[in-house]
Amino acid sequence: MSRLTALAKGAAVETGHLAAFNFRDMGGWHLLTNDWGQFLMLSTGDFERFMAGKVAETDPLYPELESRGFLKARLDFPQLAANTVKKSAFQWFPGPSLHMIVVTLRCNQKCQYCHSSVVDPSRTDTDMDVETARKTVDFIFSTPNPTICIEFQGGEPLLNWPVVKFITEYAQAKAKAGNRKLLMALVCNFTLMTEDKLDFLFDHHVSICTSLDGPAELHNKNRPFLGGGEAQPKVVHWLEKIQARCSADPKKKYYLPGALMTTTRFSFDYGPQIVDLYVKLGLEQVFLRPLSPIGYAKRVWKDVGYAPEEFVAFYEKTLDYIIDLNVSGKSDIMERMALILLTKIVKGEDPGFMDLRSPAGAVLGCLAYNYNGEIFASDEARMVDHQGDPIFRLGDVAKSDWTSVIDHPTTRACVTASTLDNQPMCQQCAYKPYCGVEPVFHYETQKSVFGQMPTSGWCVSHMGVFDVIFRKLRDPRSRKVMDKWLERDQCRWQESGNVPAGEPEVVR
Amino acid sequence: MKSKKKTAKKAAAVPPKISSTEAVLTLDVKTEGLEPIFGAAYLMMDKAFVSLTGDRAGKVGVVLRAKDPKAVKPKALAAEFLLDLASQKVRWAVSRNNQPIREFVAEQAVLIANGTVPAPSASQAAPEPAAEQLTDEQRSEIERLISEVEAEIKTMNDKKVAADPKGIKASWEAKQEQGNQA
Repeated sequence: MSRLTALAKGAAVETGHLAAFNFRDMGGWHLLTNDWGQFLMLSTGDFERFMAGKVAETDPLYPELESRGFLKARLDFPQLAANTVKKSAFQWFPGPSLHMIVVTLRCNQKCQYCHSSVVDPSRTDTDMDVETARKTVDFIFSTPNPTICIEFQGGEPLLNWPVVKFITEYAQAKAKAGNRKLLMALVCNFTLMTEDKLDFLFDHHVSICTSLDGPAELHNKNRPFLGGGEAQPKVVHWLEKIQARCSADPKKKYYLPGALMTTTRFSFDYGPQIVDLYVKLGLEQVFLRPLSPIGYAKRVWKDVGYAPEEFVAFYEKTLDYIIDLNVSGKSDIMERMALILLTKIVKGEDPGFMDLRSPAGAVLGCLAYNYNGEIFASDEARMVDHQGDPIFRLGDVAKSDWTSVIDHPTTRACVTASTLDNQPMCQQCAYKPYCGVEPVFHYETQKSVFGQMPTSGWCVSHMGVFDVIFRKLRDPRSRKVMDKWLERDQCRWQESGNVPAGEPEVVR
Repeated sequence: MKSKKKTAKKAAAVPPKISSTEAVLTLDVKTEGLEPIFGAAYLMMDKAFVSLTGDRAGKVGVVLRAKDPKAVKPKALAAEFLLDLASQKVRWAVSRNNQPIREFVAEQAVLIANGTVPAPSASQAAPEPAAEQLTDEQRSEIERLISEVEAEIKTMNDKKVAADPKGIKASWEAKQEQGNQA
């Protein structure tokens, strides 16, 4: 049986009554989903009766099938259309909302996996200058989405602090003048943070996020300082300091710092310890993110990488630990990927996560700007360019306008390739209503923006995580925990996965 | 609406030829359908090299060679292909049968998002399951409504749509100018 799964040999099927849907054999039960984001988890017996057209109108299963849009003759078109609007909210806003600006390629760390294509701190020629920064902001404000989220990335953005300050103030002035909704976020390693910088960030409502891979021995192995030295204590120090300042001032509650972890081969032995550290630091969520074999990570994959199945096993084991903590009342920490998927599956809403969209977030949802003003479909696309392949370069803030970017052949290729109905396997997958594919990932790993899903690590990894989540949804103990997470609804405005939870104050 | 009964074991009337290195299947395109054959072949790509030969209007040959011959034997590959082929036929049939409906719902979603059509109210949002049996008359009424919807979608598809109906290509400034002129 293929990874998509198949009907049992000799299964009786009557197709006439079936509405558009996909199914997945989950081993002892079947998952059914449809384009409108509805799902049903059926026993294999019920599934077989449904497929054979043997569910009578008096059957208790009938109203379930009917109300969720699985019976062709009983579809509620207005409601299904409304569900589509809600679940694909990202489609109804023109243009990208997330704009990632790389203010420098310099970094003071030499991470094992860094795919941000960093250079030595002495290379000031890779700093964005003020004129390019101004043109970048001007370009961003020419894009049509009423809401703009600017995210500072690097390299280490604090190494080019004057330009971070300039962009913040200039963008806020433009937002005020143009009546645009503006959110700002900084992703940094915290090792260069100071009280003055923190004051500025708080004063200007800039959300802060850092990388924290786990306990000191793991973090320092994954993310050592350039030239040696332990970075983790500094990260913990600033996380605690910022937490304390936020706790002391209710106005800053939305600016509680966020942290992201990246899973390397070394992380596999540290699942519970990583979670425990996040709990100890008072962080609301831990985001168990896989490593992508893109950019520099591709070169060192044999040292730090792993098979996608290994990540799924790590994910499930660590998620189990998190759920156990919640059940026992020791912590209410949430796992971010689970929360993103649950928002899609259970609430039928769009959590604003760029990686899992159809079509993908590239250009339609986000753009990345290099230090020199070059425009890319995403930050990963910029990394491919840094390796010497300009295929995802869409223009330059000094010369290009929005129309040329949205009309660019690369934009069209990315949109076409990442529309799941264009993908032979994805179009039949039970996870289609909630999933997405990444053209840059597949270009890097399979030499094609379309990719080849049966052999795609992306597909194996995401399908595996979806399997885990649906198994948890069928388990009442886990479901209770997950429902509580959804009630807390901390999954808004986290476009790239880097903006901290909550709804930060909007600068107008 | 015609009822379409299928049985998942009906694929491949000609038994596959199995050798020590490969499995060769000969499939009648009219019986199996080209899309299901392509679909099943595609799904095998994680474990087999697949080559297709023959005439897409007549008979197609499918040759399966294991990527890891120690892990999977040609006979098992052929069995898996046939199992997937049977499912592919069902998946494609369901997809084809529902294409006009999916397009109609997508169109309605765009109209709701644009504000052209109002979203259903909360009271309409949760349809009560029908407890009663449908009469023959009700059934034929439903069939008629579906036919109407399908015809409506065809008409809409035949009409030319604007190249940029949502104004995605327009910059923020252009939109503001348009607004001011209006």
